[in-house]
Amino acid sequence: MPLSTPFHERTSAACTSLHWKDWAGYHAVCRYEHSHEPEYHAVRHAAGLLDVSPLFKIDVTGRDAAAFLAWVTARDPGRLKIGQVGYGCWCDEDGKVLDDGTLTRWDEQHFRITSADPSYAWLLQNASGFDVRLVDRTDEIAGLALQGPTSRAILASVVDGAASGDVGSLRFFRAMRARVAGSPVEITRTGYTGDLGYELFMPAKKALAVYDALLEAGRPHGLLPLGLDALDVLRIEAGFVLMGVDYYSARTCLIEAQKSTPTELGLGWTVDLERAPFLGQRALRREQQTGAAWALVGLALDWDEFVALHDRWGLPPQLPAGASRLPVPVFAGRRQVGYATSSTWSPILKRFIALASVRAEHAAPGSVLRMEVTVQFERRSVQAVVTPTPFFDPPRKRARAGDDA
Amino acid sequence: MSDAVHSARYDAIIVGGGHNGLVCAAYLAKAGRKVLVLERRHVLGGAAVSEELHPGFTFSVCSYVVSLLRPWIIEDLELAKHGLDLIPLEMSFTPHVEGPGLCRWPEAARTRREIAHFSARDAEVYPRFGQQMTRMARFVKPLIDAPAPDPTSLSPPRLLELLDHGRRLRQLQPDDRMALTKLMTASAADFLDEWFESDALKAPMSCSGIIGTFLGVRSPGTAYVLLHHYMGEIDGAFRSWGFSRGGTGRVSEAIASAARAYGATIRTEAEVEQIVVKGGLATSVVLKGGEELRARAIVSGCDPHRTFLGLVGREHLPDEFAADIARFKMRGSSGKVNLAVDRLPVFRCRPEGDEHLRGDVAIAPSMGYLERAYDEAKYGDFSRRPYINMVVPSLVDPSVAPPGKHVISCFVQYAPYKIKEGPEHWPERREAFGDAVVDTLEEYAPGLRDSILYRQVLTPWDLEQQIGLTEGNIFHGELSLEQLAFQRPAPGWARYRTPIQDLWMCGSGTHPGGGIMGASGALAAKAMLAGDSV
Amino acid sequence: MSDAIVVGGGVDGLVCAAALARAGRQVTLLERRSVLGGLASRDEFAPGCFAPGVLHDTRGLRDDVVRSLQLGAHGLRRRAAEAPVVLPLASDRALFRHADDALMRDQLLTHSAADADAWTRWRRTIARLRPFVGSLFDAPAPDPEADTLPGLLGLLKTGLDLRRLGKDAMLELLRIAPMASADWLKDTFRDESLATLLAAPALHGTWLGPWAAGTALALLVNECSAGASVVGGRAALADACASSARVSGVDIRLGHEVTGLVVEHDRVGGVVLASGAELVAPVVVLACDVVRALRTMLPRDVLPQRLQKRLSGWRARGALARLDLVLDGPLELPCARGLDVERALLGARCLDDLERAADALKYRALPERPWLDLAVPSLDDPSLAPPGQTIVSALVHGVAHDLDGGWTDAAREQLVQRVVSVLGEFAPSAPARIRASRLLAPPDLEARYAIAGGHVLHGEFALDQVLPMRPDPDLARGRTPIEGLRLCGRAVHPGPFAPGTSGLLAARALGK
Repeated sequence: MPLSTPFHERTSAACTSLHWKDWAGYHAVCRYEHSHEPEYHAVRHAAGLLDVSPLFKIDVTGRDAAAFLAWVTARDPGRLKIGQVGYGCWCDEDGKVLDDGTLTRWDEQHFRITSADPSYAWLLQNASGFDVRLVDRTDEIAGLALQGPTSRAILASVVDGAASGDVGSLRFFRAMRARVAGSPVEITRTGYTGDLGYELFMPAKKALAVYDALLEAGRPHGLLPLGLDALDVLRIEAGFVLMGVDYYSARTCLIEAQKSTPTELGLGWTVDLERAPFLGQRALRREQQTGAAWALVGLALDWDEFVALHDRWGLPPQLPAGASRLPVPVFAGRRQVGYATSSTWSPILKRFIALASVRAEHAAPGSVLRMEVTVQFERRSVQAVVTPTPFFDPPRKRARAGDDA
Repeated sequence: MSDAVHSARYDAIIVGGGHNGLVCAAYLAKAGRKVLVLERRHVLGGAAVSEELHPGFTFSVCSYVVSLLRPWIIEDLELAKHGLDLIPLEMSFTPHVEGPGLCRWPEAARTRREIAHFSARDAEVYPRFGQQMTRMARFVKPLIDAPAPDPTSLSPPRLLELLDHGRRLRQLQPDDRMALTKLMTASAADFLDEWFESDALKAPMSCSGIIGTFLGVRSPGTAYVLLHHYMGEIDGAFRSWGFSRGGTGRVSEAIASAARAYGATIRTEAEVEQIVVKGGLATSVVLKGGEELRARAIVSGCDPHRTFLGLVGREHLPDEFAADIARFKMRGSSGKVNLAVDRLPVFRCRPEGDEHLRGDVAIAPSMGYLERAYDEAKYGDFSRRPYINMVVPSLVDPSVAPPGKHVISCFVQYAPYKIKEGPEHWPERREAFGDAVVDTLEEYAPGLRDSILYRQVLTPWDLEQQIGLTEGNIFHGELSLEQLAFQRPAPGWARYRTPIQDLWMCGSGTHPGGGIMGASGALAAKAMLAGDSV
Repeated sequence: MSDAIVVGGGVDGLVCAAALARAGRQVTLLERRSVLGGLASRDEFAPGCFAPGVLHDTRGLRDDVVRSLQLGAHGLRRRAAEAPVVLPLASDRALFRHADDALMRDQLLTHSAADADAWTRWRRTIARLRPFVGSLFDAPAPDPEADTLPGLLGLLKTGLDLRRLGKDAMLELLRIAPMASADWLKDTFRDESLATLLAAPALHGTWLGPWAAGTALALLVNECSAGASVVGGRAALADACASSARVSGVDIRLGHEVTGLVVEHDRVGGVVLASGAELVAPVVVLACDVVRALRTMLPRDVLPQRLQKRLSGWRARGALARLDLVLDGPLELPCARGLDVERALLGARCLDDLERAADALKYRALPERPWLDLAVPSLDDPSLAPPGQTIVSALVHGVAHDLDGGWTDAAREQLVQRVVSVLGEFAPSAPARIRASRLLAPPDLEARYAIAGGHVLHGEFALDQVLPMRPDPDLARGRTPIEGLRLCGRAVHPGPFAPGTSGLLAARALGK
């Protein structure tokens, strides 16, 4: 039986759909009402508020904090300025990804890791010889993601006093501290929706007060509580991979073929290869020379063809509500060259899109592939063109206050 | 008994109606052979029996959970049709006198939370341990589903078998190969120490390494048994345990029913006193009372000591074989306490609900506790504070107790067969042993003593006297490295044949041995049929 | 610049350096301490009183080492007759472990007649297994990872050697190896004191009692590798090796502690000294506690993580202490009156006594009644003590490295008292004659000899820590993933059972 997050009292009262899932051992709302679509549209046009408390949060402090993280993560945390957040992944010594997540530098010697999978033991195991202290703070810190175009205005209106100006000027992937409803809150301008947005972390004991303040302040700005179903659509549009769906942690893989390198996941840009040794560096250097075997790409599917397949049966085109996590084969001609792991109808782009792992030689943008679809219990395929991700990338995501319309 | 039985000559007589004997009989009968099973007691099943010892309470008297019964046997013999119903038992509870106790649930995330009370590190590592064990169980499983490979044989088919195992070993990842080597040789404690730091977690995990052995958690060789217990298969999933609805006797009854359906004859209260050997050939068996029954092949489901040193007689055996059997270690180390209670036990550390009692409850609070329990036994006494594996089958199978009341089955270790005073003095110490068990439980679940309506205490001596297990060894011989595979029960005699022509073995004392597995019985039958020996 | 640097001046290091030098290499040997010999060094523990190395036994020395280094020419002498090991039975009676089988049989005829025949049979079994087990200790470990043709052939040869034993002997070997030595001996002999006498010597270096599985293999290996002892013990062996090394041109530098290895692009380039200086060489042989060295001397990214993780699971829990005593006068054991006792087993009357000492290890407590593997080295080498005085050295079993409560002065005092009380039980005159004593508890051994856990074998003898698993399949045969870096010493097969052999094998491997 999963546990309740600190927001459970509120989220359970609001979740009239009774659709929940287990997220890392916690109850998490899939959607609050019978459709996830209002929540989706709230994030793209107003704002949504998601309970992200199940994320694992680990504090790394000590004299060697930066050196230690430089050893265990593929991205060089030494390059993070104080108050900056970095997205990256960490690998095993074969260069296979264990997990991805963010790294926030609060201080010269204080970092916070947030990630989907528990990595505490793994970090500890690699910490010998470093002067660092690791504290797993997952249980004591509650988290909220406030995402969408009006999120800045909402947040600015709830933070105490002078900090509201700081919220306005907080840049993309930067962090700040403030107080909301009497509680200290750590704010990062990050998210998993590909939109303007923030993530807020606060002591679990103060969680409800912060939640109430945000909802209250958000009401005039169109804020809705957000569930995981809508998030899934949002993150596919944003081109974000999801562990356990688009890739598997090397830690949980039973066989080699299930593991991926950062490059194979499209995360090659997060790897700083030329620096002091880090876990996986040798393997990744080798891969750099030989080239990655796989690539994670976006696919834009031919909607007309999809409609035509249904037409033959006299059916209207049917897609599952929300995103599909059913993996399906991807072909080049008749040969299977990969598999699509997440797909969805993008309401904002009005396109049928997917994330897929394909053999590297078919990964160039514009490559024409085919993805399997099932129509009236028959296996068919539709044309799928390799498309750069993010599919949806509004300027407001990165823009400073005042820049965005 | 009808005259027909007396005059009939059987293709095979199976001595002992334990589950392996019955499996063997069923396979032989299914192949069209004329088979007779002879069981000494009034009930079938040997150590896998259910008996109503107290009105309204049905006990799985000896073995109490089913894990290793091979799925292919269930399918081959259509046991489901004959009443076999296994209920998965998927959680494990380790109570503490002080402290929160530890439950390991089927849900990974929930288990992680439980373990994190003791160590965040262990909580994270735990699923990875399961993965590695699963990979290794995959490697070992083919070994238990086939006759033992024989590294000393020079015959081409045997060499090919060996090569095949060697090839599979080389295909394992280096880490797994190393881990496998350690598993085969190290102690459960050493093996677990490499993974975990928390005593509260390691202790209950290491228990599966010692069940049924006369070894402690720090004795080399116990890590292997850890793996043995990761190989249970119920509902196609690895590493699950289960209850048999109606008690483990129902497993035996289902197999017996299958055997009868295939045409086998089964006689109870028919005690075999002698296996008659003439000119190096086993020809017949003599029952208590003098009745002699002949068959083309005699198959013993009894343990190796009883079979060869008791029923056959040393004089009919080659010296070396007799010596090998004589030194085959039996050494029972466990007892059983069965309780009928008028209410569920309430544990100090988890007073609410009964969810945590639906699996097994392991009294194993720390490694030191387990090792001390062993040390007492090593020097010839039963453990004052023993390792107890307790189950409450009536919680998931209400058919075995009156409504609201429960049966509690406690597997207790260590209780050495050879206590200082000598095994024949066990009857005088039986109740003291039972008291030690109840006293121990009372510390964890105050009030349990007052809820007891009936108590049965089985010492290793009782297991020997009642069930016929030599020295009370529940596995027909210790599962120690030198007694496994091609050395079980004697070097070179691990393929169910014996030095006596037409005498075969099919009990737990042969490869792969141990647990309610049935593989020995099935593989023996297959070996006999393949050689056209029956 | 030298061709090769050997780190560690113990017997294996000296043998390796000497063999390399004899093959024409320019070799530098670096020893941390101010004396050569490592665990075999001769220590002055009281004025004019010396202990000839930590361990008593030298019987594992293989002829190959003696021949290759011409140790005979450097003063090595082997004993013509072995001193018996004395196990007191009563105040006036003792059981002797004679190396000579006929003597042993005669003794058993009066002691326990049924066991006389059993003895003959047991020795026959050992004799049958000896060529095979012995061959394992003359050669590098079979290579489980062999993908090369010679490697595969080596594996095949081991397999064939095993088969050549004959089916019965092979079955016997496979049966015995994983057993408990107590089970094996009790299956074989009726008399428990005999079983105790035989089981005890094989327990040193394990963390186990005789009832633990795997100890039979240690016993078997001990029995199969026993040759003639070296006169003067381990220290004399080290002297001969040092002399051979010097004469062969090895540049020996004492007081040079190596703290790091220079590795670039997976190639070793030399060593870093405690002084901060670097010494350059294309080949470095580690002949110290290699597991400890690999864990402390290399940058973290050099060895594969998996290997590092496995090495962190290497077990080296020190389980014995050494107590050296100087007696004013001889050691008199009334149970063996008239005999100059050189070796004795005190405090272990039965297998359970041995087992109880191992129990103490588990609970990290001092053994109530430790058992002693006793030697009187000054009988063999009178130069160790001033005239009229006697050196008595006890290996004290069941002494944990990580003692509960720590190694306080009180704990040391208590241990010494318990040892002396056991000694006094069998040699009543001895306690009053003690003029000086020195205790080396496991932490002392650790600090003094730079060995993890104070484990005198650099790692326990256990089924999963022998042959190619010593110390790890990826390091089998002393190779490493780093070009030019080689391992030998006790943590590498054949390690502790054949002093010097792993050094010789490392030198040979480098010669190829």
